[in-house]
Amino acid sequence: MKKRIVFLAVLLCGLLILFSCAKYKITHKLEQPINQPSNCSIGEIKDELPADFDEDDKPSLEHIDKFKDYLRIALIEKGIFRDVLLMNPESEYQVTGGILDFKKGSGFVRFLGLFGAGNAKVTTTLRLEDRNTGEILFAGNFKQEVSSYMESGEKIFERVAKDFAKELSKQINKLKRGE
Amino acid sequence: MRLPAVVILFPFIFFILFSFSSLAFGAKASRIELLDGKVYENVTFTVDSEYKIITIKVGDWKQEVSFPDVARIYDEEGKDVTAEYLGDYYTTPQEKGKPSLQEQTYRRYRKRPFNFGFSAGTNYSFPSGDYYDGITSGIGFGADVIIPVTKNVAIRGTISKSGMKDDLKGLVPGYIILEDDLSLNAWRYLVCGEYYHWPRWKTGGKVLYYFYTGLGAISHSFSGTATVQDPFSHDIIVIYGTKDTQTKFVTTYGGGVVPMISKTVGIDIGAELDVVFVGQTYGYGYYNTAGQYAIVFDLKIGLVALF
Repeated sequence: MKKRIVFLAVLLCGLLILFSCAKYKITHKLEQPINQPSNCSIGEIKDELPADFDEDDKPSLEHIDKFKDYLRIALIEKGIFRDVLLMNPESEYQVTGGILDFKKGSGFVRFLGLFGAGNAKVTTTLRLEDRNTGEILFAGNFKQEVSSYMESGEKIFERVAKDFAKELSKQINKLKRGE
Repeated sequence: MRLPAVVILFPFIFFILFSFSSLAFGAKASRIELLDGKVYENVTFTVDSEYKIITIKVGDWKQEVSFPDVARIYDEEGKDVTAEYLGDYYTTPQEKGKPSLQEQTYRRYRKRPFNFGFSAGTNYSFPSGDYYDGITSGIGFGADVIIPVTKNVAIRGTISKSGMKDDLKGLVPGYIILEDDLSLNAWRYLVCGEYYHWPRWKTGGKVLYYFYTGLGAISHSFSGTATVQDPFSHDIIVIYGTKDTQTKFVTTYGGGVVPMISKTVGIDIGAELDVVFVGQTYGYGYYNTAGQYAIVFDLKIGLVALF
C-alpha cells in the first residue's frame, strides 16, 4: 500500500513539473476555422508594459522588428497561411500584440551562473484578428525565458513566435477534426 | 522501507505552493470593466501575475483577460481595487501624463550613449623604476579614440607621448651643465577595453565615468648630446645619447571622469598607470642594471567629444 502511495506521489510530482513548464495561456480560443489559403500580416506590437517600467529597460525597435520577423517565419513554417508579410494592407488576417514584461538579460552574467540573474525574459500578448471585421479570433499570453549563456537573449522572441504558431496550428487542426 | 512523511507529502506541498505562487486567491468583484466596453457584474476572479491574466468566473463559465485589457475592478463594496490586483498595468499612461498606449510607438532610440568618441589632452608623466633612473617627470600629450560596443563597454585606442624627460642633473650630480641637447621621446600605443557609465544619458546626465585596461607598446628613443664639466677637475665630458629606440611591452590601467559641458563635449580628467615590461639588464639610467618592470603614472586632462 505504501509503495503505491509513493509511486502515485512521484507520478503526480512528475506531472506537476511537466505542466508547470507550460509557457502560455490562451485567453481566446479559435472558434471558427481560418479561411485557407489566405494571407496574413504582422501588425503592431505595442508597448503594454506597466507605466512605471524604466524606459532604458524597454525593448528597442530592433527587438520588436526581430520579433515580428520571427512571427512571420513561425507562421510560414507551420503552413497556416499562404503568405505572411509585415504590414500588408490587403491581408485577410493580422497578428498584433503587446509586450507585457521584458528583461533583456546578459549573456555574460548568465555565463557567470549567478542563479538566473542574467536571464532574458519576455511576456507578450498576441492576437490573431480578422482584418475585415476587427474581431479577435485567437489570443493568448505567451512567456519565454533564456537561461543559457550559449543562447542569445533574442531567442525569447523566437520561442514565443513558435509557441504562438504551434498553438494556433493545433487549434486549427482541432476545428478541422470537429472537436 | 519506511519513507519520511515529507517524501510522500512533497507533491501535495508542491501542488499547493505552485498553485498559489502566482495566483491571488479567488476574489469577488461587484463589477469588472474591460477596455472594449464589456462589463461583468457579481463575478469572482483570479489573478495570474506570471502570465498577466485575470480569469473572470461565473459558475462554470470563465473568461480570461490580459491585464492591459482591464479598465477597472470594483470589489463587493464598490471600491476601486484595480491597482491592488494589477499594479501599474491598470493605470493608463494618460493619468500619469504620458501618451496613451495606442499613441506610443517604439522609437528607434539609440542603443548607446554615443557612437564615436575622440579625446585629446595633456598628460603629466611620472616614470619610476630602475629602467627610468635618470629620467624625470614631464608634460606630454595624447589622443584617444573611443568606440562603444554596448551602452557600458567600449574599445579605446590611445596614442600618447609621455612627458618623461632626461634628468641630466640626476645622471651626473654635481657636474656643471654646459649644454643639454639630450632628447627622450617615449611614445605609447595602446588598445584597451573600457567600461563606462553615463547615468541618465538620455535625460541630460552631466557626468560620465570610465575605467579601462589594456596593453600595447611604449617606444623610447634617446638622442642628442650633453656637455658637462667636473667642478673640481674642470674636465669636460660629452654625454652622447645613443640614437637608439627601445620598444617595450606595456599593460595599462586607467580611469577618469568626464563632466559634460555641452551635449557632446566634456572635460576629460583621468589617471593612468602603465606597467612597462623591461626584460633586460640595461636601462637608460646611470645604473647598468634594471629591474624587470618599470612604472609610468600619468595624470591627464583634456577635452572629449562624443558623437
